[in-house]
Amino acid sequence: MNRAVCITTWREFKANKVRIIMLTLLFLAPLVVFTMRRCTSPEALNEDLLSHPCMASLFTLLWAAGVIGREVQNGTIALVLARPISIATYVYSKWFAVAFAASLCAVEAVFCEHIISAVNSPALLWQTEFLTNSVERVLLCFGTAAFLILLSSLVSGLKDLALLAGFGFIFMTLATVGSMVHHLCAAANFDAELARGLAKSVEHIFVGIIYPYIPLSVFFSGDLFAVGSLISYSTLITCSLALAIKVLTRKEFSYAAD
Amino acid sequence: MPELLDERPINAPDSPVRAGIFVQNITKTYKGGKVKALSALSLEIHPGEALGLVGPNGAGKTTLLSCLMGFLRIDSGSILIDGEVPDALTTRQLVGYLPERLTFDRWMTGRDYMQYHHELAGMPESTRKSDCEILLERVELPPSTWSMAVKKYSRGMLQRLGFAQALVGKPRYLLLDEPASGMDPSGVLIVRQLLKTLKQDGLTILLNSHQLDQIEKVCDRVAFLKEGSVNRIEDMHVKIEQEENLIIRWLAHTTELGVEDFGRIAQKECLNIAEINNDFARVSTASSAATVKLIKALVAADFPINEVRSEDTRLERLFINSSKEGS
Ligand SMILES: Nc1ncnc2c1ncn2[C@@H]1O[C@H](COP(=O)(O)OP(=O)(O)O)[C@@H](O)[C@H]1O
Ligand SMILES: [Mg+2]
Repeated sequence: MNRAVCITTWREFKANKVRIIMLTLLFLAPLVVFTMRRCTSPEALNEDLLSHPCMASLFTLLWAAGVIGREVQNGTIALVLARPISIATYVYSKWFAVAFAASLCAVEAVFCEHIISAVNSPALLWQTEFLTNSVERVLLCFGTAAFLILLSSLVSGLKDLALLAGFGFIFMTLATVGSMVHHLCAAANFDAELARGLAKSVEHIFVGIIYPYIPLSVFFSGDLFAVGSLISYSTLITCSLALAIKVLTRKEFSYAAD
Repeated sequence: MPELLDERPINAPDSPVRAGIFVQNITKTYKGGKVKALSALSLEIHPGEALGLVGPNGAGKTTLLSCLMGFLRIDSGSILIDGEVPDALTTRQLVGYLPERLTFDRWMTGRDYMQYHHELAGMPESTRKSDCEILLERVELPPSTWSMAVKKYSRGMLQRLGFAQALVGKPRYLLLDEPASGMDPSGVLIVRQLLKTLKQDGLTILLNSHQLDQIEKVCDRVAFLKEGSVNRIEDMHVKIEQEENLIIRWLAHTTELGVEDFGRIAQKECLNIAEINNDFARVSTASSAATVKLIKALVAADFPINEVRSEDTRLERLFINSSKEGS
């Protein structure tokens, strides 16, 4: 981990007005929605209105988009690697910087939501749901950040967003084809247990990559599903970072004219 | 400039590792072998020397420097810097680099940029501020610009910042790709002066520059690159006899002697009189000894010469000759 790389990543984000505006919107939108709901529906008073943990993914995406790709595009990465910094250190630093910053934003958002709930009905202040929610978000940030770092190391500039969209598109296509096959089989009275199992596994893998969510409540109940999600989570982080390091090691950073 | 000096121990003379940069038979192609940038290039850079790199555009100078930095992977051959490969972390501690086209995080200020690189280079935090300021002063960036965002810097100012950045890790080797490009005349002078001081301090310098006079004034040896390999290496300390082109001026209004007299005297010592005017002539002599004779003869004849200078430098003539050779 390199302090200078982390700090520069954060400062660069701060220097980008568009991202700051988007960050603010991402922060305010759920707050506004919940405040409105509280004001309009009285039955919402008894529960802590927290946004879905998937908000953490959005924060991570905002922080991670092009985090390595833009350095490759500008050529600044070469001057960093000209220093005694290994590519592995660079990748870990970027990952940590993104995940930490996104976690901070996501957790802060949950806290604000919780406070707003508590202002309306003070009894909610001592509910601990928001703590679980926060930890889930932090885990989600670190997992998502690893995958997005990998995408960013593959391409230059902000093209990792396109990669992500492509990834999502493939997932949707597969899901559609899967359900069509399922319907056809059902119509033909043909029992396709294997095909259905296969489709489910593919879906799990895709979801595990894009949305590495570990549901803590299930986890502590000792469900086998939770163990599975923990394994896929750690695999995602290890493989993504290792691949990103591999990709960057193979890349050439040329200053010569094309 | 003791603050800038590399204090790391140098290999003992009997150590099996040879100090210096050793490039052996490297080839480098782009686009999967379609563009040949370097072919069978070999070069040695000895500790403490300044080696100039000269060659036409596209000769592969920048590619060579990028290979030495480990940014590009060579197809074959070997590069050793103090016995280590270029992309070893220990090597990177020894090498300072100024790229041809500088890249900056545009939002940073000049001072931020220096401090960022100071930290990346693993230098101690206690001296960070002072080290960076000393270097910014060395390249004569005015202090008022230190807190300015680099996106507001002019090309020459960026180049100065880049030069300061190359010195930030107290390098033992300095690889410079056209350090004076885009600089104003005073910048060019500063770079030249800085290079001389750094060389005196014992840094080993590889200087790729189109400014032949700069190379001539700073470098001990000059390598001529052409189509990806070293064409010839010239030792600038060895004097050679070669044709000299001179420009001679005299004070025409103070003398009875005229153009014909000049022609008569010059004829004997010159190979060729290219141009002759009322108070000015361009001639070429066979050697520096012939030049001395010519000047003596003119003085003896009471010719009021007030200026004799070389029309082109030794390196310029070599460069022109080496470009002609191949074609
Ligand atoms: N990224 C690149 N892709 C393809 N060809 C390149 C690239 N960089 C340089 N070249 C080619 O390699 C040769 C050497 O280029 P370069 O090292 O920039 O020369 P110099 O610095 O001496 O002007 C040139 O023919 C150039 O066109
Ligand atoms: Mg070049």
